[in-house]
Amino acid sequence: MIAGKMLEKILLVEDEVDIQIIVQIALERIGGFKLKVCSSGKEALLAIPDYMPDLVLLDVMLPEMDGPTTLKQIRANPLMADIRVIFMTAKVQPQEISQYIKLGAIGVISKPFDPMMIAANIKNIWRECNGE
Amino acid sequence: MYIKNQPGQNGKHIDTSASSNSNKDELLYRIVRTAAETLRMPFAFITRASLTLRASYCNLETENPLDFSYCQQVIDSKKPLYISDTHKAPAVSQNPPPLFRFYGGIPLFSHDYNVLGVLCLIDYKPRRLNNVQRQLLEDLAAWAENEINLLKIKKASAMARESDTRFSKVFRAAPIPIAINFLESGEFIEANDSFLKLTGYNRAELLKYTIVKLLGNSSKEHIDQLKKLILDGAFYNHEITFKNKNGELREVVLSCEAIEIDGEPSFLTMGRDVTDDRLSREALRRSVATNRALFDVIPDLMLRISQDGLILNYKPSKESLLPVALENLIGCTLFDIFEPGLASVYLSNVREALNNRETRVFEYQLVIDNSIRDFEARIVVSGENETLAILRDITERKTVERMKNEFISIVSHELRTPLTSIRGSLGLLVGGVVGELPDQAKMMLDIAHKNSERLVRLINDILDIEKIESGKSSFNMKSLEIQALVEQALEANRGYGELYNVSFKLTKKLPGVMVYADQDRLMQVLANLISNATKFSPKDSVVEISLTGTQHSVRVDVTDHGNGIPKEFRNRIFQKFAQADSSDTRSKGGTGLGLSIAKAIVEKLGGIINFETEEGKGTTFYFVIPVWHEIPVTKENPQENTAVLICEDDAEIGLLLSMMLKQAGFEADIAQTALQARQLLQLKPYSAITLDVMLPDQDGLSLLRDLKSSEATMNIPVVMVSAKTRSNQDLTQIATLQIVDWIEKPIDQERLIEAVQLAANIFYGYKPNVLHVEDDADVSSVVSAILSNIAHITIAATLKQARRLLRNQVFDLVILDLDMPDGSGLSLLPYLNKAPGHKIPVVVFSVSDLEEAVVAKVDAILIKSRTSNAALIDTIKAIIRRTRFKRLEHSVK
Repeated sequence: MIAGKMLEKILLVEDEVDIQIIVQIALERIGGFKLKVCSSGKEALLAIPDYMPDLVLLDVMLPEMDGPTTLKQIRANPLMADIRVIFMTAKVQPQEISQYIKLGAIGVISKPFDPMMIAANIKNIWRECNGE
Repeated sequence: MYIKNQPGQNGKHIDTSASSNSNKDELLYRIVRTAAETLRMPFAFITRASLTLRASYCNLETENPLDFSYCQQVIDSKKPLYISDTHKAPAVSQNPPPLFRFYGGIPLFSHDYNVLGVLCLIDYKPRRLNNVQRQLLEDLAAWAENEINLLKIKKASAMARESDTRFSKVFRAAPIPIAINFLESGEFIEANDSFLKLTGYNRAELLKYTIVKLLGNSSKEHIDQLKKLILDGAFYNHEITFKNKNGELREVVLSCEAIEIDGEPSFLTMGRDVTDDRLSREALRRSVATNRALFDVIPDLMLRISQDGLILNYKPSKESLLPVALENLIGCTLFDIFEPGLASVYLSNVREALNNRETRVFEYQLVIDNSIRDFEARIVVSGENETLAILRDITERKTVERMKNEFISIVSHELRTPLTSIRGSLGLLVGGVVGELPDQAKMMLDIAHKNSERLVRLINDILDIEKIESGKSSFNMKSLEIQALVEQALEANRGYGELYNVSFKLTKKLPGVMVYADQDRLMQVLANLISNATKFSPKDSVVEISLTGTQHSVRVDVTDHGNGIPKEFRNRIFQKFAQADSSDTRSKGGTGLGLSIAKAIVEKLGGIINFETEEGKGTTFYFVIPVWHEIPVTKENPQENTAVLICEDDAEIGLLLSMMLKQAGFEADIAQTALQARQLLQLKPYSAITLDVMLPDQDGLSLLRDLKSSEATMNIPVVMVSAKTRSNQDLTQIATLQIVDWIEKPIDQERLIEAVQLAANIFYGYKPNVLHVEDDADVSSVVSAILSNIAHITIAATLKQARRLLRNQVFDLVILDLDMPDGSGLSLLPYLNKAPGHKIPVVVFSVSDLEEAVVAKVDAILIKSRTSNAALIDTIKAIIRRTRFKRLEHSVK
């Protein structure tokens, strides 16, 4: 746990192009983050070692490899095991949420989200995780 | 009786009162006169067998009394009697000798040799009759005899004629058709009015008919029957059909008897018209058949069940709805048909239905032909001591229900993805992220954005209600102060009220009253009621909230001063998408699901929700939920001499521990070293020990091992109190050394007292307090018997009772039946999680297997029919042990 770590670089893993665009605008223009977008879990696993994001925003329902599996793969790789992950999904039943937390996600953002608030939400989760 | 001369009559005809008038007896008179005159006797007469005079002739003027003694003798002996001189003959009676001297008497016989009377001659001087005279007299007697018999026959035939007339009347008027025919020709001799009515002919017409002609085609069989009459004498109830005069078919049942009329073989026919009977029978049969057919197409199985569970009768179903294939269910018991658990459920429902005279409905699953099927049983009271059980296969309905729920869930999820994009894009545009927009475009985007928000709310609500109703939504129950929550809700909605110029006022307060609920869910209910009241309030009005309560329940009222709810809408108010005016959905901005969600939530919290309304005046929505009574941590007042030994090297901590324990009513001594502890243990009996892991002269765990191996101290339960975090190695030690609890420093007083109390209880042979939630008295008494040695059992027969018990008592374990009369046992689960880290373990002991989601929530599942007594005990012991262990783990975290 690295206290006070700054959140700058985010990797979005999302297969819906429309949602990619919205998140990109919301996080870059409103949140001021640096964002890279991947369309699948596999792509993300390849991109992370290069990009080394502070945070991965991970969709649950993804083609081929779903979000939770992707997260397990991230955790299994010592190079990226420490990267924080927030799930962004429409599947937000209480037991599903607790499942995500068990897998090691630091938080969940439910879809549909409010684009004007998403950056603030992410910052809040980040700060909480920092113990601030 | 006296012989009386009747003067003035030629030939002195003597008569008596008995035979005064009779012309019939004229002949007899002539006989006695002939006898008297020819034999020159002064007096001749004929008596009856009763010794009264029938006819007499006298040519004397005398009033001598008659003496019938000799006549009696003739009657008795049935022989003629001649006495020449009565004064010389032996006396025949007590009477003095008669005045007459000669007596001659001849008996008169009937055809059957009974004496009818006597022909007598008497003279007042002694006489003797020669043979010719005797013969003459006997001839006269024979004549008299003949005459008397003839009279008798005449009289008899006169009587017979009279009786014939009577019979004839009866015959004619009898309501039964009767006819008499000659057997040979079949011709009618006579028929009564009923018979005529039956045939439609008048008497004259009928008498020209024969039975063959009357019966027509269908007569053949009847003729055959008639032929047998000669042999059998009679036959009865032969059914035939014939056409009457009007050509109508009549169905009759005939009985015939052979008789003789004037020596001719004949027969008597008695009939019964059953045509109408048949018609009504047929109508009944048709109606029964129709009902039967209707009944048979009902797919349900119906069982008439006695209060003892005996099947009295049943209507089979087309497909088998039972786990067994039985040829005939009548006489079987429920236990022959269902496995014991389910049979008990049936039986208890049957009894419950009979006790309360109300219909009971329950559902269950069975595996039939290798597939899981859902059933609904409806128990209807159908008599004093019996019920009708209607069993229905509801597999399809259940499947559809599940599919519907899944569908809703999937669709809602699928809808969310595109909606995420729509809402997101609109949100960014409206938020001005891409720059300032022209006013008109901004207005339209606002509309689109607002409606996308509404769509999101709608989908969320649909999902929400589906989750609550399907039981997928887990409630995070805790005790809450209801007033604080209401105030919080008012605060949260104040801004919303300002939009409508509506203010809120808490009119009745109820501080300090606790409820046990999921805070967010209860807030959701309050917010819904408050925002609803706000929406329907006139401008500048006040929405009033009041809290009232009893010892057991609290009621929250939310009152608006709006228009009230229209009558026609009142019974739909809690239905989904119900809004009085569909245009309201838009104007008021709701989803139409708020109240149904509120209702679902309140019901999950064990409460009710309802409303009172008056058109033009306003509406009050209210809900009532149970009050939660906080339970002090100490379970019971510690017993006297509950001394605890505190082993603690730090004097200050030792003092703190002893203060805490003394406050809770324990007696406490402090040992600062292991040596001191051993000395104290020899001086005084302790019922619990708290032990620090670090002691100056000995490691705490090694001291513990010593204590456990000494007979004097091995039974004293130990609670570890330590600043040291338990290691894996310690864990093994704990398991082998039977530590009650492991409490970390800083010390939590509640936990310490609880642990020491538990330890003391164990020392005093405390039995775990088990709540058995079970509505079947038979099952619960069996379980109580099995567990009585290891646990103290309290039985709750209803969920209501269980909730009350859980509020007022502490239980170590709950055994739960799922099919309770007032709901599913699972609805108790939220009540078992009273304090954090103090979850009451649950063993489900029920009929059916459980869904996976449920399995995760309980500690063990036992299926009634498949669980042996030993397994039940083992499971419960294991769970009590595991519970202690869980607490240990918790304390170490």
